[in-house]
Amino acid sequence: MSRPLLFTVFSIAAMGSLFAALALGTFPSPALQVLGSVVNPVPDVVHDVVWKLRAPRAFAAFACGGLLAAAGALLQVLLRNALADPYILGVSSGASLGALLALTMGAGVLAMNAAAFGGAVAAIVIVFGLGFRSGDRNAYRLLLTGVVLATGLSALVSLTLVMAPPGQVKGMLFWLMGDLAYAESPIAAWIVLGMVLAYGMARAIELDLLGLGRIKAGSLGVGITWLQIGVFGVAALATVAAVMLGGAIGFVGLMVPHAIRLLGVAEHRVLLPLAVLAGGTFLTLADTAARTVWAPQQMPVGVLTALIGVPAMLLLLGRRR
Amino acid sequence: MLSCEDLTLSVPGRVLCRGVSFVLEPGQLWAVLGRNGSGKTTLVHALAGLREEPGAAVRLNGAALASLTYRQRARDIGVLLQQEETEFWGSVLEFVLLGRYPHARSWFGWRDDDEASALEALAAVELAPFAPRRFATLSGGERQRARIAQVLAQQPRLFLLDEPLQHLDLRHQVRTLECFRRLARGAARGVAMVLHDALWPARFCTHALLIHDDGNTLAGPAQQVLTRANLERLYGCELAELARGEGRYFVPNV
Repeated sequence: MSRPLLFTVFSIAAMGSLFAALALGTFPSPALQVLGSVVNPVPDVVHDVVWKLRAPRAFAAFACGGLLAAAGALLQVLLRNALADPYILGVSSGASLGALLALTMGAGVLAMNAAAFGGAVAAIVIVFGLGFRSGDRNAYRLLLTGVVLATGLSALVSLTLVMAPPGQVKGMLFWLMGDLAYAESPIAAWIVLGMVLAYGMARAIELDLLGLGRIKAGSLGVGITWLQIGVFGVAALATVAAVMLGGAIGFVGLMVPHAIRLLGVAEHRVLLPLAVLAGGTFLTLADTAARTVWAPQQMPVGVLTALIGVPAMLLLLGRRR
Repeated sequence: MLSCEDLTLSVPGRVLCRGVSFVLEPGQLWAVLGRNGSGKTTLVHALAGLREEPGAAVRLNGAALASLTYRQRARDIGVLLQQEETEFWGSVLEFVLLGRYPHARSWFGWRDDDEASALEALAAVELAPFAPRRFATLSGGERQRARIAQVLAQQPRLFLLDEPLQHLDLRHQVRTLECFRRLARGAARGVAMVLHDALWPARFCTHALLIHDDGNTLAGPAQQVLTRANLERLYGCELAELARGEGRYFVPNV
């Protein structure tokens, strides 16, 4: 498919997913009325349901998906590893541990968020400090440090789960599996998403060059150390913003960039915006399904992303052969 | 153009070469020869400004290499590495276009002249029909030709080539050597290439730099440096010299 066509298709899909998220739910809201409330907002019940209940969550889901996909694409090229995903830097494990410890101590939502944020930042600082010491900026070292730290933190998370009072375990599991039900206002996440995308577009060719290896990219005039630090920082920022919205939602950050690459797009100038659109669309649809399919029961969206994403990805992989 | 004065290179525990001095002028084609592990690749990296230790020992047009910005250096020096750990998901043309980065002025996409030089470079290595193919589907020799095309598209004034002939069949070995000789003679480019056998240097190169295992080096015009005695001492292997037409060739005498 040509690039303009891909952009058109993905943009329409993105709008469609957001509209579906606004129109679907337990409260009956005919599509026409929702459309009316989007085009010409008149205060009534449908308007309130759409804009006060569903819209914040829909836009949170979209931003979260976009951030995860962008972070995944950036880390895959930074670490030169196709299996890299946003959580490889230990961000989600750090955030989970912080949040769970806060929960066991009976903290409120605000304190829990603060603890999660603290845990995520601590994990990033540790990985960056150990894996990226001056003089030896080997991607494998960074990768291994992240994996090792994430494993250790996961063990602590498991320990916290086992030790926690049984009543709290279900809430904790939802946090661990990723859930957008408690997403706060998505405005901050959208600002971060804009910044991440702007950085990625400005550095698009340098990102392509990173795929050639440090030395070759350096010989072509890339200031490689600052680029690596910048990509690491931006990917970490995107991951933290996503984790603060929805916990550790798996699959999106790993697979969405690959899905775009399987469509024949490898240049980051095109790959990054498409990945953001696709990740946002995918997570918005998954979250809408998570809160409507079993209503009034809610599923953790992290489970659904895998349930929907795995067959779709296997199909794409198979088609390629 | 590129001058190297009393350069000493070492890796932990060993001095690779000491007192390397030579001047590479436009139009010259240098061969860098030595045994395995003698420091040829390290020297290429040092000459390309990719190592910190040379300091002011390596100068480009009089300016210390370390004082140039990355982009300035990349516009003047093109490097073909021996091992490029390429992890590239795009097409062959996109791969070659990356060589245009030092000249890129726009953040959004390549300009027409970038694409023109990339296509011209692909034609020079006989890969033009492969332009839309995915880079990952190329064979080893085709990848090497794509890498050569990338450094050609970079259009530097000085080429530093580490084992440019690896993986190439005979026809493309000859074409590659002819291509760089043409660039040196016709377009006044400087070329230095690491070669690992003694067959080609005396036939194609104007100058040679020998790196002996004890760290001593010998640099000068090919006629003086590339003698049977010198090369036998370098490789520790008996050689025979064949003279044919305008060229001399050295082959193992076994």
